[in-house]
Amino acid sequence: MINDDELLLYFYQDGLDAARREAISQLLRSDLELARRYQQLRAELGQIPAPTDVPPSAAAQDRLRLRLQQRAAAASPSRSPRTFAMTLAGATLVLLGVAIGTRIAEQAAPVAGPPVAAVADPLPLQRGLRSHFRDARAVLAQLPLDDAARRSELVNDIVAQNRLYERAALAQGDERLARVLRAFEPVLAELAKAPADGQSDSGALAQLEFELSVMQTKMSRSPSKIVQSL
Amino acid sequence: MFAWLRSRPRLVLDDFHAVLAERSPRWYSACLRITGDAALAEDAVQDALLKAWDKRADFRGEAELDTWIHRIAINAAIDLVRKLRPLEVAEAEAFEGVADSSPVDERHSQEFGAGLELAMRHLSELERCCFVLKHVEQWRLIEIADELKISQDSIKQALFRALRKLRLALDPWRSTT
Repeated sequence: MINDDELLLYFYQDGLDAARREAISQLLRSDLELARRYQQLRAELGQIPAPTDVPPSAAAQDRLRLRLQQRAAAASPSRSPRTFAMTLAGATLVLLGVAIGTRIAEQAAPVAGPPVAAVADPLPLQRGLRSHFRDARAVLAQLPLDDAARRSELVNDIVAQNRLYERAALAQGDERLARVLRAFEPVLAELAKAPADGQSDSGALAQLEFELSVMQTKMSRSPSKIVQSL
Repeated sequence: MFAWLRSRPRLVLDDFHAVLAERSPRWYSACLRITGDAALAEDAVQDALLKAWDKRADFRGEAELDTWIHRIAINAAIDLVRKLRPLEVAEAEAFEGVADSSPVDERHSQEFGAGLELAMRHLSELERCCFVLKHVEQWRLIEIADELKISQDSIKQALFRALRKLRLALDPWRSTT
């Protein structure tokens, strides 16, 4: 007896040894019922809709391009350390400006400062981070409990922004800041999930709120020396 | 499409930008099907792109550049899924027991729209990986087993379950045959 699973492997021409494939071939010629089942399976597999390609968002494409440029610049042996640092700084400014600008264009509600100001500011990372922490606190304070999809979307937006700043910090050689930003992610991942019935996520929220508040306070005291204060 | 790259002695940044502009939707979509998560898919594509750039001296041109990066991206996506959500082999899972869709599944479905991707939310992580790698990416079973570090028999069982679930979930498609 040949079942549909074996017919599936026969269809893919994979996962059956030569003897078994030959045996099924012969049975398909002599067993009408088996041949009918195989035709049915082939028809169904043939009609599985082709997957559609979805382009990454414009912001994501910009990030990919710029990360590639940064990597290429970092690997270039002909550049002096000073030129390399300037390239990285420039790429970071562009990354922040483009990404923040694109996200603002993509979303109805603004989540960061205007892109032109972010690029022109001498401390774009600090400015962006202050804005990011302020917006994140505001969003988290209003996180819906009864709309899981919306909740996940809001938190994932914060995660995406967080990663952006983490990468920008790394590009500036700021490992400690990147590490602090990375540490927020597991808590955010927890918050993205809706709490089970009868439970509250106030613990994770309070922890994150405290961390964000500390970060905001430190940055407002010494915006140009975030790393030293962490 | 990028056959002209084969005759070039070495790959330069412009080659990568050209292939990125044209092929990133394909890489991203493949990674999205495997991870079910937009951020992870982007991370996988980025990892692949940077890895390919770092290893460009090893590129011999046996495959197209975009095919090479595509393969690296899929491997990166699998690695990310495996790190974040270990692929569990459910030996006797009843295919009628369709899992509830998670917020990620819902968003995934919305992004892809109706059709196959919508039906794929009924699959477990392992089933989705096996189906995508076998049916969409047309990998050999042995390649899938090697990459997922799971026996070929388990891959076959996951594939069988995936197809059964899809045949149920894609009821309109089934009823038209």
